[in-house]
Amino acid sequence: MSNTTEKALNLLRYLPRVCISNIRDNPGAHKQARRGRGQHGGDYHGAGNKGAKARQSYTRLGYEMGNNPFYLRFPFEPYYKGHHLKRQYPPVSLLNLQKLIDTNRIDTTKPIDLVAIMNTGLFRLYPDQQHFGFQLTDEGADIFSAKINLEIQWTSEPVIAAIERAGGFVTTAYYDAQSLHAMINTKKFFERGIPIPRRMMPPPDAIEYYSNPANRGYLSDPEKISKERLVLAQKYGYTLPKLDDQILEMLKERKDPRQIFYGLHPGWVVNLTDKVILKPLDEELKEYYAS
Amino acid sequence: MSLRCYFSQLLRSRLSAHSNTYKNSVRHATYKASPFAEDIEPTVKYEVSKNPEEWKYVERALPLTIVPQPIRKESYPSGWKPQTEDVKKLPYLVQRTKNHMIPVYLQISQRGVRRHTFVRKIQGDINLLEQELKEFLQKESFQPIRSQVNELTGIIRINGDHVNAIKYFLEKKNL
Amino acid sequence: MLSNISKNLRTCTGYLHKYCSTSVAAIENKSNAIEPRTLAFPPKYQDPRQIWLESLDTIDQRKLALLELHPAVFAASPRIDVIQQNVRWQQLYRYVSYAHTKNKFEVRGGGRKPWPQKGLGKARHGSIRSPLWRGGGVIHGPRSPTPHFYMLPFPKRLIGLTSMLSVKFAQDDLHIVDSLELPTDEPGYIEELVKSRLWGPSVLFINLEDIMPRNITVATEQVKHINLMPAYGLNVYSMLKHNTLVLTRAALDHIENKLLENLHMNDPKAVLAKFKVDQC
Repeated sequence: MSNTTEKALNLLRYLPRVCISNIRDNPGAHKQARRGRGQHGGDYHGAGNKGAKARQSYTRLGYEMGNNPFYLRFPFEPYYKGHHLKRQYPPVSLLNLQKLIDTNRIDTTKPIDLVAIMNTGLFRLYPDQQHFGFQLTDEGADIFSAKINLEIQWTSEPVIAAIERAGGFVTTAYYDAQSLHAMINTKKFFERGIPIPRRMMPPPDAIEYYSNPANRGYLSDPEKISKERLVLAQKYGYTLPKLDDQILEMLKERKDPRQIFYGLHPGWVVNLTDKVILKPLDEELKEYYAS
Repeated sequence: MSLRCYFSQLLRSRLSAHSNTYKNSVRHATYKASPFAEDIEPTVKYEVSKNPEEWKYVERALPLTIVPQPIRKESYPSGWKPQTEDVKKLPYLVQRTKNHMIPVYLQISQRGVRRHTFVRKIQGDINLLEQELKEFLQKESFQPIRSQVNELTGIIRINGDHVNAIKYFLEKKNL
Repeated sequence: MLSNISKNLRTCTGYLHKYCSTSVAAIENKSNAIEPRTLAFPPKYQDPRQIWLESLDTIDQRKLALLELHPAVFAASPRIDVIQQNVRWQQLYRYVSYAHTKNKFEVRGGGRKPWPQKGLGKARHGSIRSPLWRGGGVIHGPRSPTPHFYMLPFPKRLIGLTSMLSVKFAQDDLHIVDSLELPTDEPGYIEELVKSRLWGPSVLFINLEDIMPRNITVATEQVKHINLMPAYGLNVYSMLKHNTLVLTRAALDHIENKLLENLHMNDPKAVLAKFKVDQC
């Protein structure tokens, strides 16, 4: 099979040595930044004769010659009330997740949380724009088949059914903005050298969602969750598959409500250069981080 | 601690100077390589723990540096398919991107009116591929399929939005 | 003058006599100890390239082993336009223009109105240093100091390096050496070596670390056209400027692996983001 690269490299063998004096950019790459000495723009540069337009002395945009202008008549609009308090969850579909698993970008032998999704490098999250994590959408619910231990920030009933039918577990968990910043760029966070913070509790309007076993909330009772699994299986018409002990251990791994990373406790400082973890010894600090 | 760090780095560099494996090159003439004048100890009491079990969790939290290689499976539920192994016997070839995806893209310009489909990274007999694509796409289209071939850069540009059709055509050929 | 030339000749022939060795036994012993190279990211679309591993022990060329090179780094598309953009960037990003012209406020004088507005029949003017006047200020002239800093996008810099290495390899200007250890620190030795091997007048030696063996540093100190560089200093301009590029095996491993890692980067966000000066 012919290859243009190979042809070009073979050509170079018989051409003079490439040096600074015989290289150039593609033709048309640079426009000459030189102007002719003649007139440019006409007598009045397209602005016509006299008037406010030629002299740039017109009234400001929106001014209505003295009466109360439209843009000042309404001090607020009800449609955006509370927009700065609403939490946003950028979507990740089940199809996306399945593609990541198929192309080996996400490891299914370990629990998948926000850190694992951000480490793929394919999704972006901006906490300063009221993003509080990802929501799992039901695109690809019919083809999803992977046994995963997933921790997501928001999801809906058909998605939970799809994952549990495949033999996995879902948990919905809340992360505050500081925790999110630590999870989005873990390398940058560890390099800062500050102790891992405690994860904050959800705000009042979110506590109900995360305490509800129907949403698989992380604050709800695990017994109630297993009950809800059976209820959902009956509703959607599938049987909960039996799982091996090996996978079951991984699938049952859950985080403490105050924990951000799996296996790392709040208060620890991770040193990446020396590959050690610094833990506090003061009783006060230990009590605070354990509470 | 920093002095210890510098000396351990120097030792490591000397010991592995003749190794054939990839390692970070040590820069001796930099700010970071020079030790601090005074070692300042923090006031809080802490312990330094080197537990390999805990360090596994840290490594799990750190991002990957390179794109992982896909594993051979029997079926891929998402519809993604890997490329064939014997790639050199084919008359033409469409290389996969570094994310192992098919390089077919849609370019929309002029406020959504103009739509061009680009097939990139083509090697081999590009004109044969263009002919076959035209034949394939003409079955579904009333208008004649207009296309342009750039052999040097290995790109075929086709008028219209035929991204999914071309991806289906290439996947059938396992390219 | 003649005595100078004869002295050089004597030293040259002295080296030739001392360091020309073609013993087969030495080659056989060496080749037993040399491991073949394993390529990271096994190449799928192109065949790996091969290159001789040489030595700087003797003036005469001794081929120790054949090494494999990854085609994505050493047989990449020779993009001359990208190479030119890299050279332009390397020259311009640190260039500061000190050309300066005075504007009408800076030119000496011109504070007073030269003549009254009306009555004289002359054109109306406010100062004798306005840009309309001879000797007046320049409007859009160069203002010192003007930096020409810009960052060439990361993929272009990456392709510049791979293209340049491919060009050097294609034109037989690339050589791999086991190490930069020389038997002597005389500059004549290295000059004779370069001449006899037809390595071109200017040679760039690349070592993995910045602290290099003593002999070669002393030998090349006075010779301006033979230069040493650590692997982290490899750049397109230097490769173009020097006729021949000589890498040590360790440097080759480092450079190839680093370039391949960057070609298969998982998350290029940090690298494609706008360049920001580090504050700390």
